[in-house]
Amino acid sequence: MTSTGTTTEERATPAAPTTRRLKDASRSKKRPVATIYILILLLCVFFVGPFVWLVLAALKTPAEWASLPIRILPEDAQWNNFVAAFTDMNFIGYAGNSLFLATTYSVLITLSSAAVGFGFARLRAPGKKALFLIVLATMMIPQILTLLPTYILFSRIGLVNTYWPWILWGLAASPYMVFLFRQFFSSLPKELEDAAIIDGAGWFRIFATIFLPLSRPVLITSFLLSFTWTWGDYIAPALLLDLDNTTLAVAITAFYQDPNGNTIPTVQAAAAVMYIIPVLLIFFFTQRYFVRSTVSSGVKG
Amino acid sequence: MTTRASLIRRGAIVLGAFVTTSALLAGCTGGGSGGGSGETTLDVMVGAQDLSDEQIAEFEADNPGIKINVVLYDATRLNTMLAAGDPPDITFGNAVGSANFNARGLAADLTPYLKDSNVLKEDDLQPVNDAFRWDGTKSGDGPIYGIVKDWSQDNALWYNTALFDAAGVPYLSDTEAISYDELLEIAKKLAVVEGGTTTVYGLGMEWQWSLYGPIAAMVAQQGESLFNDDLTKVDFTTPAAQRALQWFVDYGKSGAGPTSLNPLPDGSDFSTFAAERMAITQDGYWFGGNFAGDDALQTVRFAPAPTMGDTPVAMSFGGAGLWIPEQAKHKDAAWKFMEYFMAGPPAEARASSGWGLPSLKSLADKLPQELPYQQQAYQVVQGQLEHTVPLPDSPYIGAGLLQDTIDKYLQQAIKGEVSVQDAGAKLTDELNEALAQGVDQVG
Amino acid sequence: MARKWTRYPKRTFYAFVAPWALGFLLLTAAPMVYGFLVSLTNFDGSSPRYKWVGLNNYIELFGDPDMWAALARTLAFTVIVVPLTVGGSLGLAVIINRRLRAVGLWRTVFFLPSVVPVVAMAIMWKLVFNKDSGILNAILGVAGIPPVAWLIDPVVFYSLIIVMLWGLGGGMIIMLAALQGVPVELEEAARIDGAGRWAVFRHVTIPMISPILFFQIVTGVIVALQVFVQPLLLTNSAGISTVGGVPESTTLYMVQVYQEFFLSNRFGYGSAMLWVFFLIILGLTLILLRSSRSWVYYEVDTDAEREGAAR
Repeated sequence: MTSTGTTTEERATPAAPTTRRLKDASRSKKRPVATIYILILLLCVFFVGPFVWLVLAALKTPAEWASLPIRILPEDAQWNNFVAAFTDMNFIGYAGNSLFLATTYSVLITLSSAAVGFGFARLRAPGKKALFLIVLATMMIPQILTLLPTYILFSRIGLVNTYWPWILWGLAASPYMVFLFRQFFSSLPKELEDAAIIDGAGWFRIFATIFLPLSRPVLITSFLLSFTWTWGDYIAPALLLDLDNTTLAVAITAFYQDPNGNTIPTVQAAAAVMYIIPVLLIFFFTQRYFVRSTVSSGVKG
Repeated sequence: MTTRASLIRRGAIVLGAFVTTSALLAGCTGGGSGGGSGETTLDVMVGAQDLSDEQIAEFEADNPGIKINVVLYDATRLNTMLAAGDPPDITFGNAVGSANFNARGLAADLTPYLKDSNVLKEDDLQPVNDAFRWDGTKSGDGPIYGIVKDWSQDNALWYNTALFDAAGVPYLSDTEAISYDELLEIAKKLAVVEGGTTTVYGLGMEWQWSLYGPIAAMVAQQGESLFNDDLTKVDFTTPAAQRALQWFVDYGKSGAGPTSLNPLPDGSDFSTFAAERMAITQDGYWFGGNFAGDDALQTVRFAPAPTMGDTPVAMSFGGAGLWIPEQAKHKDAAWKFMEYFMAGPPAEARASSGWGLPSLKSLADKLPQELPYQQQAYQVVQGQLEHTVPLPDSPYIGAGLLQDTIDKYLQQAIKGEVSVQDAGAKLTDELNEALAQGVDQVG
Repeated sequence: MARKWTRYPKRTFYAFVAPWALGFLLLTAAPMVYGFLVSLTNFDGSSPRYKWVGLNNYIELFGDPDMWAALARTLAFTVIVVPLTVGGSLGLAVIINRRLRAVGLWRTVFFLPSVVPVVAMAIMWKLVFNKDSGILNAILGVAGIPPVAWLIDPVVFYSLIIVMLWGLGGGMIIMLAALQGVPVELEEAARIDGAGRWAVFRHVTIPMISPILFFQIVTGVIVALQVFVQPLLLTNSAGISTVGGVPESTTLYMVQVYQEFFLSNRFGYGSAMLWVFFLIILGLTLILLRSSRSWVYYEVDTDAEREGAAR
């Protein structure tokens, strides 16, 4: 602990003038909390505004939706749009598919990326640097470049219209998450593994019993981001899945049409609202796990 | 030590179980093709709502041994499947735009099937189906590669009589085509502009759907053509084409209707028209299907396509239909589906719904005639049938590219950045370059 | 004979990294090679009648003014967007990294935009930005400002940036996780020594989160360079537009690529564009990596250790 402290202090600007210290000390607890709340409220308007507009759109009739001057509120809230969104197609079925894919993929990719990231962060081997560069490089490959050959590959082994591609992708780790885990694991003190190594523990046990539990915030972040990404992904399911087992993302764009192929915007808006809510709920209930980690308590000085 | 080890072991077991279960589920959920022996699974690529569950059940009952697997229509996916050599057995496609597939040998010739069929006959097909023909150099002639499911004369007009009354403008004729210049004048009168924002549009051209269609029709009405005979070159500098471009620029500048510079929020005219904020819209017969309900707009009428020259020309800009890829694995079963969809109960249902004109002559009498506007529309359609021609369709350029390039230069001309002459010239050069590349690709 | 014990056996590293390596070979490397081969043809995406054209696509690419314009636009876009998003998401994370009332609610609200699926976003933003019936112009109208055409050149470039900033919530939760990982003791120690809030932030917090900060910058740059969906949303057609409907000032490089692929059907040329772009991104990232040595602080930096030992 002492060694880390010294390093930090060394990095701090050595010539901090003493006068500044006195001034800062006096400014301590009188920070007006109100300004923070005002700022938050303003930000909320920015972030939530369009969403509110979407919810309002979901409660209008198509004529109200296109009317001028702009109607903010609908005359009668058209809750039947939500009913229609739910019943015009097999909403629950597609939602279930999305849920399965997103969960499976996210669990797999979080664990595999954690393992790979750990390897890059804490281990050594020849060629490690080059390999890491390749990981980074993979992030830069536009998805479209691999679209067609990936389809051909999966089609040749008969995995089109199954969920196997997601399992394979999940096991293969994501370069973004690998990068994230690598950065995180690099920021943990060396002392963590020393005790275990002296005890004769193997690296996998060190990873699973020491580092993995400590990376809880990152695990949850990775799970959440991957889940959100898969839940909202349109391109992969559109390419690989057929109507009976595709995901909600694709279904929402394909249904809710009037007989000549025009999407009914209000019903689609209602579907979009219902589509967003599950991920929101998951986030709301998991965000309490972004708790202050107990890194320091693992290494008593 | 032991607790930690057992923890890991437990964790590993749980993870292993999870992976195995998901693997099993993943395998199960893949609806395998060809379940039992002798059973064919037909991959049908259509929109999500084109085929109802009842229709699927009905077809499967009539055709034991064939199971339908619906693949959602997606242009990227279709192209990818074609490139991978694994296309759907039958797929949705527009007649105008089919030349692209036909010229590349990707579509199956339907002539032998039509010859042997009992329900679908070649001479029963409306002329709009000719857009699915390809003879090696141009569309419209030669063997037929697809069948239209329904169509409309897309450059006709629907208008709201209540708004006409409010502006004191006489109704459009049911039989005589109005000239485009007159149409623009009327549109300006009908438009209501209050301080910078347009509250009522005079005329909507469905700008975001097709520009090439109306312009091609305008040029054809003056007796000329945008494309040369073998569809390898285009010319927007001819007087006929210039007149058409000029009209669009005048329309854009007048503010009488939405363009891509001041578009509608949802990209199509319907909701604005239904909200009585648009007096006239250029749409085909199918548009009328919107007004059959009790609470729909009642004051609607249908008028024949406006004209820019001496020759009256009504055109279908699309002609949605089905075609069978050449590399499909179950072509015979696909043809059975084609017969069902084009001549069976679904076709009758479509015809009687009023959402489009049937592709078969024999189904023409199924069109709805209950409401007054439906009768009036039907009469207008009949009057236009004899001068309905297909839209020229070049396989060397994509419809999207045509649309976007024309839009780009029209925007510049409307903003006054280029003259209509220059816009036409630049448009011609750019499109011809793309066409040359297309010719190179098709070989 | 016992093998000499080494703290870092090679096999362990390769075992940890194996899943990624296998996936890379099959799902990435092979398709990349395929993509390169396609770039040497004039493949149109569906027909088997393609021709080999060698390096013609690449030669044409270097003389293509549209390509250079799109590239310049994309670089400018990245230079503007990345600092704003990284700084913004850090700021947001700092704001809500306190025990505020209903903090869970605020976090959810800020994160909300990242969760919205693409189709819903299209509907929303068109409603907001539409010149005649959009809510933004309605609000401006109340203040007496004439309606702005948000969705056409040149304003649409800035509308695009607004939409990008709207997605700050995603980066925010990563920053939050990073901030949570900073040991409280360090910050308290600095405070006790008399450092002010800003000094603590600048000299303790930022170095401690610098690995994550670096992550955000690098991924931010990579993502910004490849932005493609948002320009498609901010156009005037229903839902997601055809690629050609994108106004000129938001035709970023990837939009240009998609135009070549799906509008002009030039898969060969498009693949060449992608390969060139990939190399450019690679180069930029290497530069970023190089620069990171001087300001990113790792607790465990096995590379630096080795270099230290060698010295």
